[in-house]
Amino acid sequence: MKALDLIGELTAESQNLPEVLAPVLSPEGVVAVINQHPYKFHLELDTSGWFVIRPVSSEKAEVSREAYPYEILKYLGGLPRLYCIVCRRLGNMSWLVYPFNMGDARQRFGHMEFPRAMHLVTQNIEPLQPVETRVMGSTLLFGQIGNLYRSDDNLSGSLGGGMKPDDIKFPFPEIKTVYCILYEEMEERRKREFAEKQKAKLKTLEGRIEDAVSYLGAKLVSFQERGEDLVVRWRDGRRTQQVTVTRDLRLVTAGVCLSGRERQQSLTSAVAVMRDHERMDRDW
Amino acid sequence: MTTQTQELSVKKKLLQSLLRCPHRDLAQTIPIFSQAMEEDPLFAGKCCYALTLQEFNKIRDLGEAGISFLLTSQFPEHRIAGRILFQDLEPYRAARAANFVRRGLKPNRQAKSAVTRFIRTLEGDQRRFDGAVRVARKPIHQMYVAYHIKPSGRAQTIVFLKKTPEGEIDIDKLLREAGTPEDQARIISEHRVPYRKATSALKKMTPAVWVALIDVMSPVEAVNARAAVERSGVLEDKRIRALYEDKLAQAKDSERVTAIHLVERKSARGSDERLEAIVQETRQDKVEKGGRITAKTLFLIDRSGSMHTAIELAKRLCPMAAASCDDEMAVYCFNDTAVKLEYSDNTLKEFERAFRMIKSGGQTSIGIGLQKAIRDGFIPEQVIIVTDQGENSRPYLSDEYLKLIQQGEETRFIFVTVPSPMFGPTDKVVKELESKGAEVVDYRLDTDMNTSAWYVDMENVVPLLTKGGYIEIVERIMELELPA
Repeated sequence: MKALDLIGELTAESQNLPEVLAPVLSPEGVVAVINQHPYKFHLELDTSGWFVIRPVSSEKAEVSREAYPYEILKYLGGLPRLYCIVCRRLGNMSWLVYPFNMGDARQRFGHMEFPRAMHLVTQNIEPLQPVETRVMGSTLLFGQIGNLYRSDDNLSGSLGGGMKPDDIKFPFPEIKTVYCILYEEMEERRKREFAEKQKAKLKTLEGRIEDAVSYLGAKLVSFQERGEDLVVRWRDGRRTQQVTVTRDLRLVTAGVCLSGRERQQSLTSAVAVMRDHERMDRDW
Repeated sequence: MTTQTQELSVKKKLLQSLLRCPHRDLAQTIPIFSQAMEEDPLFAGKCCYALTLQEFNKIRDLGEAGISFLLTSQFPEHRIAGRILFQDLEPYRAARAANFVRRGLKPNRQAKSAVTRFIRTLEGDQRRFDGAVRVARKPIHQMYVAYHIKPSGRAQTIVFLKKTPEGEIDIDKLLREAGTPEDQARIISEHRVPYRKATSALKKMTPAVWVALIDVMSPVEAVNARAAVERSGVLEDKRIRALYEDKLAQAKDSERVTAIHLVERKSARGSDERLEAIVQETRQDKVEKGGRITAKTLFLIDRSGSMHTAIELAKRLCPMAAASCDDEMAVYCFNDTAVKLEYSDNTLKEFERAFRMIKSGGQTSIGIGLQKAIRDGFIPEQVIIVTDQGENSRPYLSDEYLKLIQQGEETRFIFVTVPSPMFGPTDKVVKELESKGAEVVDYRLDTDMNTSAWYVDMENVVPLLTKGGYIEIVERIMELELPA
């Protein structure tokens, strides 16, 4: 058959494309297979999900209705299955997943990188849970919650408790990889939150005083304004200490003789000075 | 150094240059070819001609370099041959050669008149000219400018003003303004828009567009687009599959498609079994056409420490050599011990399977490979050795060679030397064998396997292996008659 004739035939076929079920990940490019041909349609839609679409031309389509569950199951049944472990949520209906058996995934889907996104998740899932996904080209679609292994509550608890991966005995390596990904993300998030908290703390006078006092392990009891200066009280071990500092936390008086070097000390070093003083006093 | 060995070394260097693809940087070839043209113009001229023949060279860049050196030679016979060969080039290759002559060599009147004649012939063939400009406007523009060639009125409009002559159809505009992908498909197919040009103007890929693209693909483009075609899913349609399979089968007759290209290029790989069968058939055909190994051949593969490169190279070389070998062939891998490689057929897949458990490690004793083969009753007429020549363990190859001589057997050694990661380039073993009177050929393949197009350097290895030793190759080149 000549190419031009075939183009004519295919053009005619594309004018009368039937309704078809399609997974809509992004309305910009919805891929649907009609008469064994892959078509990429543009949809006027602002959500993702499973829809039955009606092609208007070979480029555009309209949403006919939402797909029924049995239609989705039938569609997914024709796609190759890949068991995965859930990592974390990426978006509204997308989660990051990692293969349950990496060797098998490499062999069957060598062109894909992992971990990767799983789309159109319609059930409630949690990190470290097994799921059954279906592979459409390079896209992973959610099938159902898997039953390959028991979703291990201990691991979720360990993760919540911040247990290091090295301290846990994992049943298989892939779940360790997922745990490590989640643990690292959690650690990073924790560090980021701590840094933010610290930054916010240093913006207030009380925060700055507390930060200076707690640097050497003491605990702030109270502080009072006295004229231009501040009287700061902290507890260090059993004893409560008190010094007077300026508003930029330079020492004014510590109540002990510092040979006129008070101005060289800050509130942080005052904690150390008072601690030394107390020890010397005790030793004496 | 005697005159004879000097002469041989120039010839060796020229032949060695066949194993290095300049990847468009033709200036790399200047030192060796200039030296050869000065010291042995008779051989160098014929060697330049040989570079344009598929039998000797499959790397197109080298062919362009050969024609350029002929065009700028001081000998009229060379220049005449260069002019004739230049006229037969495809426009984009002619532009490359002409621009290389202009920038890298000394252009003479002969070169200018050859380019002018080429341009005038091209201008005379409207369809060919349009096709050439569509894919290589800039190099053709450079040819006009560099050689001060006055363009014809039509060429002036198309090449310099970038417009379509009055009364003619502007296909680019048509493609741009086409309402639907199906319209674009029709335009591409009707006007035979070159594949490379068409892909850059497409709005959307639909089955009709794929049909148009497959229709205008050249066989080499069909081979290169295999991964994309398979990925698109259009092969599910029997009609489109038949169209693509027809196109792919044409690769058998295309000179630009080579056996290595078919299996090494990433975009030419796929998983469709029927397409794979066509590709394998084409590959087999290419290998068989590429020359025959007529001697009883022993392959010795170095698997000593850090010789991963040698193993990878052997995986590709062995199936091609096995398919080209009319006599017996055996493959042994050696480090401080030797093991015979068992394979059932000549396919790349089978050799990949056979090499699967061969890993690099241990010391190097090339002699053990030869010793083991002889013990197994395999007395070779030629031994092809893929190694870095870093022999550091007994038995040495030269000793085993002497034992073979004492038995009244004679053999020839062909080295495919890969760079040693620790000691750099060495020719220790070759020199030892030469000192014992053995016939030795040393091809150096210093390609970096981490680069994307490394396999191009391998294109000429098998053709050289099928031609025997230096003397045979030199004799065959000397038998060539320059076009006149």
